[in-house]
Amino acid sequence: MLELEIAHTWPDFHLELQLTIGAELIVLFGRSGSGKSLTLRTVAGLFRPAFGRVVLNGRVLFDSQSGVNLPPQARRVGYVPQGYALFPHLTVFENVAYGLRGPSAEIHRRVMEWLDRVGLADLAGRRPHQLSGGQQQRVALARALAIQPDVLLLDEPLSALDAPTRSELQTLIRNLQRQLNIPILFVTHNLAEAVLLADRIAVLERGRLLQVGPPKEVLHHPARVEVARLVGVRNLLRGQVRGLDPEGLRLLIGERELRARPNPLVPPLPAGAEVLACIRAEHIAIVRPDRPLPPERENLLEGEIIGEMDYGLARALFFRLHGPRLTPDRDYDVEIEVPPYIYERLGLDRIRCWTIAIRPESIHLIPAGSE
Amino acid sequence: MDWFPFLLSAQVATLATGINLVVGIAIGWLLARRSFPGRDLLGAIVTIPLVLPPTVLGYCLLIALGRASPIGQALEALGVPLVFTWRGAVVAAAVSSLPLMVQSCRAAFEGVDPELEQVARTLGRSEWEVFRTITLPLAWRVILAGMILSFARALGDFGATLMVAGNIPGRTQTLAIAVYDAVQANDLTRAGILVTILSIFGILTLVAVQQLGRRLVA
Amino acid sequence: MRKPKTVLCSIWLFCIGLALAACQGRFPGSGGHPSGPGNPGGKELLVAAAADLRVAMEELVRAYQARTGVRVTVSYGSSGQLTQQIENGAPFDLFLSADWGYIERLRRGGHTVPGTEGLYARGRLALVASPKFQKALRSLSDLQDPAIRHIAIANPDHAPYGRAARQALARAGLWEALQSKIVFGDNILQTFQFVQTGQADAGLVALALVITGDMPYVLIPQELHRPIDQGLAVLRRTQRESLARDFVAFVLSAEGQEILRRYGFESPEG
Repeated sequence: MLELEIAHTWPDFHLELQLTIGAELIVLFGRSGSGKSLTLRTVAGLFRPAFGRVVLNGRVLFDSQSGVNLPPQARRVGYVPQGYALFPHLTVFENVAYGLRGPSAEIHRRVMEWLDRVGLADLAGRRPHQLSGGQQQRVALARALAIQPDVLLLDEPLSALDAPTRSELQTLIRNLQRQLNIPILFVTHNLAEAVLLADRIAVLERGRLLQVGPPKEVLHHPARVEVARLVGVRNLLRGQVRGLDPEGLRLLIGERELRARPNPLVPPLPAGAEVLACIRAEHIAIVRPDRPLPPERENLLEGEIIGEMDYGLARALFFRLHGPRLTPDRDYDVEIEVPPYIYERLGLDRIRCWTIAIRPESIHLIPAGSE
Repeated sequence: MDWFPFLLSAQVATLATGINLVVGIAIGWLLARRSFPGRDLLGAIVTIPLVLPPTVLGYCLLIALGRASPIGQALEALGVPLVFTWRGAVVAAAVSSLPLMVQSCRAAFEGVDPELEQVARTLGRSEWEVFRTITLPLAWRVILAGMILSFARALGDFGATLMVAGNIPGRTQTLAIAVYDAVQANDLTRAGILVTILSIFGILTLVAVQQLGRRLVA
Repeated sequence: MRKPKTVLCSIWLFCIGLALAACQGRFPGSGGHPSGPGNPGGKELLVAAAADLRVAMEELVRAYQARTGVRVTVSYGSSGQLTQQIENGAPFDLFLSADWGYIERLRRGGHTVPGTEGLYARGRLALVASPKFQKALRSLSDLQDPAIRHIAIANPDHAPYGRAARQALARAGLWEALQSKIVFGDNILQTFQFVQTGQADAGLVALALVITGDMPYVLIPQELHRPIDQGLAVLRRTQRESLARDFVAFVLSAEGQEILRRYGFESPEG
């Protein structure tokens, strides 16, 4: 288990966070410059914050109060920085063997075991520059894990790789975590990767932890508007709570009333409370005229498509309501995401007037003022 | 043909370079990897021999290490005087060529990705082991180039050596001083031979450095 | 590619080996004796001499060696530089300067053996033209010829022949007029080389430098400048004082003075 507390101030940046991590894969997710790498380096002992504590499996690695600061050599961490930092003048074998001590037969056995595990046994004699990106990454992993660390720190390990290689390595890392049962801190700014790999996601923005939780929770129930933006919520609509009745919450958004479900995990929102309604673009359905949806269980809105963006694997549609608007001060009300096949099937390029449906459960509310 | 200057210069330059290798690596590493108050000052001090006119440098060394100085007297008491001996020539050559060595070593160490050293630390190796197994092997080519340049400079040193060691034929007359002496004596044949040999060596040195440079890129 | 460690190590070891060997004193050129200025028993002298004495010294040394079998090693340099070195412990037995002033300075600093300071020769100034210069020069006023663009003299600030040259030109009333043409040589030898190589069209140099050559020259009258008194002294550091004194006696002897005269020096007066 890893307990982490960091606080450090620079002239233009402040890093402050607290995290407790078990034997899980936790993704540090955030934009560039949000402090993710610094956090890893603090655990590794390569950065010393002004204040903080790092305790790993009961061992105090760093404590600013008592002045304890173990050097990286003594911390037993496995660290893979961005760019892998393989030793260019050593072979694959020598790289992986670098942190090992003992009789050479034993070292040989362990190194080959690890190379086997990451699938590089027959490249032991090569030099790093002779390897592909994916292979280099595997060597870096093997090297970090061969010393049997208590925690594994990976800084954007897959950012530079092509999609298929990425996929393979994601599987490898997931499997390793289950086998080794140590905490893994995985830094990435790729949302899909974070959602795929994480047991929990820790969202970092400008040096602060905004939310920590399982991927589903962070995706669908962002606690703050910054998190909502980071996890790709494209509809953030200002509104007000009108009241609560047996069918759910009544919201006034713009000029319209919508229904939402109250979140059982948070205290109920009083009438009149200002809120931000988060609606994911993927959660808005286009109603087929021959397959109507029941209005009691949906928010049904009529309008037309006034613009679109083609992302190849999906299309974003900008939808404007007829009649009372949700966002009167701009040209469209909501952004909808549809896969290409729906776009083609429904003939959305030709037919622009539609009814859309938003489930009450898909509307997540963030109290305004928690920004 | 008196071959003494060749032998003397070869040995003086080798010793001077050997000393500078140790000092250069130490100071170069400090300047490259550590920040401390006075770091820029240290860098400047080490570069001074490049800036000073050689005779001035020689004069300063003479004052600092000559019989009139505490260091000089201590050395004399120990039976190993520096000035006006071949040892003085070594000191003069070493001090004159030190800036080249330090610059090279500094550049060599700065050229090693610190991230590699950081990772090496997390893998459990001590500071000295990291230096020996990661930093030095990755830096040695640039250091070697610096060594060669420093050697060439030490070989050719004149002004400082003349002041500190003097022009004593058969004792402290290095190759460079011998050239000067021959020119003064109007013995242009001898001067010509010495200059040719010195020049050939200089060219060989620069060719070697360039070859090393190419292998570095590869 | 050989392992870099081996290369570096072997270079290291080579240096250390040399250092150790050298420290033993077993060093080529010290001739087997320890590297101090010692060896009082051996018949050898180390003399510091002004650069312009070169040719004359070589013959003096040859003659002395023939007579006594003592090996004399001469270290030539500028009188100023040699003086500085002597003040800082240079291991010379005696010093033949081009200028009495330096001997005085050493005497006052306590670096000489008292009583051994004396004049051994008087230098003379000569006017000489570069081989490339067509016309013949007959006197100092010929230097006003516009065809002469550069006149070389030794630096009057620290070279005795330069001082004398300036005095002579001033006495002849030519110093101001020729100012723009004057080029300083760092020492008298360099000055002479300027003229020899044609960089200067003419120059005022030591008589000693031209008397044995085939360049035509004009002797500058003694009245035009203060005498260039050349002094010598046995140095306090010597461990071969009697030998040094003996050499001095030789320089001052009839034979020594005869050699000096042949090379353009006159006997000292006073």
